[in-house]
Amino acid sequence: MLAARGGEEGFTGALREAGAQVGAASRGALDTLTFGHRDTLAAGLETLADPSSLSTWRTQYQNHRRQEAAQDQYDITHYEPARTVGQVAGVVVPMILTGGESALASAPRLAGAAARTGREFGAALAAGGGVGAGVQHVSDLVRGRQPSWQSDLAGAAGGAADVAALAARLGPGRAGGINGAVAATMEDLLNGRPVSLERVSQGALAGQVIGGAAGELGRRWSNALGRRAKGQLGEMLGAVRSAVNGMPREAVPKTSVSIKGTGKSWRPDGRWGGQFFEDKFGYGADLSRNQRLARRIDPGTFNLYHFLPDDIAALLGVPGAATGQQAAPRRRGQ
Amino acid sequence: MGLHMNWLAVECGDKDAVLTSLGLQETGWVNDELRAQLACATLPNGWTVIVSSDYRLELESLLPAASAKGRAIGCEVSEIVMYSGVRAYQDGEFAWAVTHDPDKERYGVAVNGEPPSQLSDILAKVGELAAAEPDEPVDWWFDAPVELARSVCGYEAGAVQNAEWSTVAFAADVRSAPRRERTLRGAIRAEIMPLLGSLGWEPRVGKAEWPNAFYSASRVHDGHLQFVNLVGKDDGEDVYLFPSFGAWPGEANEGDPLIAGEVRAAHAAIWKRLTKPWRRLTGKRGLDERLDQVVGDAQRAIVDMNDFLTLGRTSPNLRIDLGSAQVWIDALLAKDDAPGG
Repeated sequence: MLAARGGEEGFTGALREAGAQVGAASRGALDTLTFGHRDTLAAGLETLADPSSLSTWRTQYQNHRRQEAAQDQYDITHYEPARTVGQVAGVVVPMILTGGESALASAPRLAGAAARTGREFGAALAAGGGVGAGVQHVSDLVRGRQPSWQSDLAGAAGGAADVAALAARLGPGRAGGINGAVAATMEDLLNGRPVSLERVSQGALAGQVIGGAAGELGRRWSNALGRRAKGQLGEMLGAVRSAVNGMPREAVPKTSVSIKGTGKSWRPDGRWGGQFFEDKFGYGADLSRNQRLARRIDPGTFNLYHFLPDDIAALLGVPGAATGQQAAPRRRGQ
Repeated sequence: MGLHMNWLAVECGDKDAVLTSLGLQETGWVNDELRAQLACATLPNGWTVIVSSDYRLELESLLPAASAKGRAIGCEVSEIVMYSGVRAYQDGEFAWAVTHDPDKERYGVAVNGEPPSQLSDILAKVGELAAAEPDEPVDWWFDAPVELARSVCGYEAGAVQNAEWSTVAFAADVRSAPRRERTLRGAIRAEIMPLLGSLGWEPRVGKAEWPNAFYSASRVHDGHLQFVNLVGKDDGEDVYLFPSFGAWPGEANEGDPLIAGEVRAAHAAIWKRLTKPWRRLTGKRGLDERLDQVVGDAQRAIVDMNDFLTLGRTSPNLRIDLGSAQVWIDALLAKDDAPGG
């Protein structure tokens, strides 16, 4: 009988312990999702849920908040592994589920469109690093903190990681999450601090949310542009891309180019030496008949640059994620 | 640039009346309408066309006003997003429109009102082409509105022959400038054409058999039909003139030219380039100075080009766009080696 009772108590105790672990993990996840403000949110909800507290809402709120803060501290002391799992899940699960990706229909680039070159990737990495460092530096100045090379380097690492993630087709949301996580990790490491998983999680979430939102905004904005503006955007991106590839477009007036042996001609968007560039922008842009002919007759000189609104999403996602990572709260002495 | 432009055409041969009704005025000359922000010409068929090579015509407001002078159509073409559209107005009222927007309908066109009957033939032809090569990444329908516009008014971007294009600007944007006594058009007639004649060319004004060659010259030399085309612009702010040239394999304008290119002026001295913005602000004197420079450079270029076409002698500023210098030199040598050559 005693043995049975002991077994029952052991089972109940294990169940209770499991519940406490789950509770700590849930609170950890919520803390991440609310950027470290779970206690504030919970206290507010509890105060609102008690109609008798209207006259003393401020006192009630402060009491609830103290209780929630104490609960968090208890979790940190007694259930840190579970809380950590929850914090990580608070970042990873939304990333897997959404990634901040667009609901817009996407389409592949045109067949034969120029693939990204090593020079373009290198330039993008450098630009991403520069944006990350710049945002970090400006953020430090705005917050009244002394900028440091450690912080700038951490921001640069985040920006570069963002670009690398974008190149791996993770999308601006997921890439932004990686940006935030890398920047927060690097900042701790470069400052000789132990890596705070809480701050890394919050940085990742902020990077994901803001980077994804900025990217989505860029995608929708560029897709909704008028035809004239879309064309100008496509030409501008094309000029930048050919310059990065060491083929700066010649500043010459518009000229048509004969297509050998056909009696037809086409007007490239730019030329460099004997190379011709054709820029396209948009999900529905194909080649015209004469452009197809020009490519077929002389494929070695026909460079097709096809840009999509997804590229604008990527362009805006990097500074968005870097800014979002700065917006993540630094709490508990960090 | 690939075509990224819009234009309007009015069935009215009175260019001045059309320009006035739209608040535009002439500012100068350009040989090729796609080298100016805004250009205007009256075509031999009596339609007056106003072209914006960078898509700046507000067709919504201009077309109703233009159609007071006659049937008016407006066309938009962007090869970057592959959008094309044409719409027509009559007596200030919308008549019809045909548009191809690949973001909305990738394989087809949208029709409003009652377009001309030739549209059905154009669409049938496009449909046949698309069906013949279904796997090609080609936007066959892009051409349909453009072809319809051409069938109505005769204009096709960059393909008009023997039209004298004026650069134009909205009157509100035109800065008051002192009346000019010397223009590029006048200099071409007085100084360039006589030089071409003295070198054995037959100068022509508005009679070439290729597009955008209002001021040109041709000759048959060593069994090749050769041409010179004066590619230039003088809109009161920008002045340039490049003689371009070419030669066909035989004595007729048939097939592809054997060679084509141009002779560019040497780069201006660095101090001239650095002070260019200032000199441009100095008004008439600066413009006259540039015009002298441009005409002098063009005369030297014509001599260089003539030497190349007759002797195969190249110059540093010679630029070959089609074929190669060696191809032409080989052709000249082949003539020399031929019996009686």
